Amino acid sequence: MDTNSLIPNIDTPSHDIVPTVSPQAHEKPKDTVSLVIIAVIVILMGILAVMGYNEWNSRKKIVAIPTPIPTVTPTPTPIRLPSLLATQSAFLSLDTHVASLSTAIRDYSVQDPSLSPPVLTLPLGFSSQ
Amino acid sequence: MSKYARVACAFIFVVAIFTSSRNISSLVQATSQQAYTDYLYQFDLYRQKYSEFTVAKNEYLKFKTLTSQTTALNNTKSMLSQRDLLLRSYLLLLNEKLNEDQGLGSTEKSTYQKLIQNEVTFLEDHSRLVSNIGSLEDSSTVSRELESHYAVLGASMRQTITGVSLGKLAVISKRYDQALSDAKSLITMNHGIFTPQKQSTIDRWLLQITNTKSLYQQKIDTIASKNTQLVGTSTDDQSQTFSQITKDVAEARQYLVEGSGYMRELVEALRYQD
Repeated sequence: MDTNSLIPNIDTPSHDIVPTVSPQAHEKPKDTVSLVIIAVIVILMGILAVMGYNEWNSRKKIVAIPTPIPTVTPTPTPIRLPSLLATQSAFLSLDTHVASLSTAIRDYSVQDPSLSPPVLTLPLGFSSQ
Repeated sequence: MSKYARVACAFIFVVAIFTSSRNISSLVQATSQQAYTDYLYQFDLYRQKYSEFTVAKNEYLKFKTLTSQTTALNNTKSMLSQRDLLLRSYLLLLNEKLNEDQGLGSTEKSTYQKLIQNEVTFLEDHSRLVSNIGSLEDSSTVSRELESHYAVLGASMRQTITGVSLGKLAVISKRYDQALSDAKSLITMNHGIFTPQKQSTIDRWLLQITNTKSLYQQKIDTIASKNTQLVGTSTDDQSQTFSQITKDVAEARQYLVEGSGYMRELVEALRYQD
């Protein structure tokens, strides 16, 4: 049995010897940083979301001012009292007479087209024989 | 006969008179409408015969053959005869319009009817000359008879047309006068129901309506005067004068339009107390 192989050679540096460290010990700080970064990002996103919602809500709450529609107040028609003549038969007859007179004048035609005289060419146009 | 039977007979008699007068009025209008239809028919025939005459004349002037001469003569006689019939139908139309008129006085109407009758007589005599035409020289001579008389014929036609217009205006004028008279009576009988200020306004308006009628009457007198000036002038002068008369008739109508408008305003003023 070769015992030399069992005793490690301490004097000669051995590049083969690598201090053994647990891989989990390296990953722990990395995980924490990631978590922190993620948390910060989430928080920032949350803040932005809340700010955006508030902005949208505030816009939604703006109520359009209705355009005032001007209301026309009719001028009250002055009440005119009828005269004592208004119910007399002579007045009513005059009223009818004047209305029919206006119609007759309107219907009068200054020129009756059916009475235009015929336009004739009279000379025969034969030269002297 | 019982009292009721007599009343019934009287009622039936009145209804019969009324119905027959309306029938006569529509018969008269139907007569003028028939005269117009006849005039249009004669005019169509004249255009056709004039066209045939023109073709035959041009053919004769071009070829100077005996055949073309004979054709030209026949077509000339036919055209001249139709021309007389056309003018006669137009004069009869004018006569029917005069018969329909209800505005002219009997003297005026008979004056225009006399003018028409004179021209109808001339055309009848002219027709006899046409039927005796034997050559193209004769046809030219006979045609010149009408040509030389045409200014007189034209004046008579235009005077009658003006007379018909004046007659229609006279009917409207009578209604205007009646309405004005009724208004004056109504206002006089009810004097004092309006305030003095309103009464003064009404009186002013009445005066304005009366003045407008006076202006209308002056225009009518001018038209009547110009109408007499148509006689003895050339055809061109007649056309000019007749155009002026037509403008004057339109102005006379405009006075009536204004006056009736004023009357409508007066009626509205009378309708209310204030």
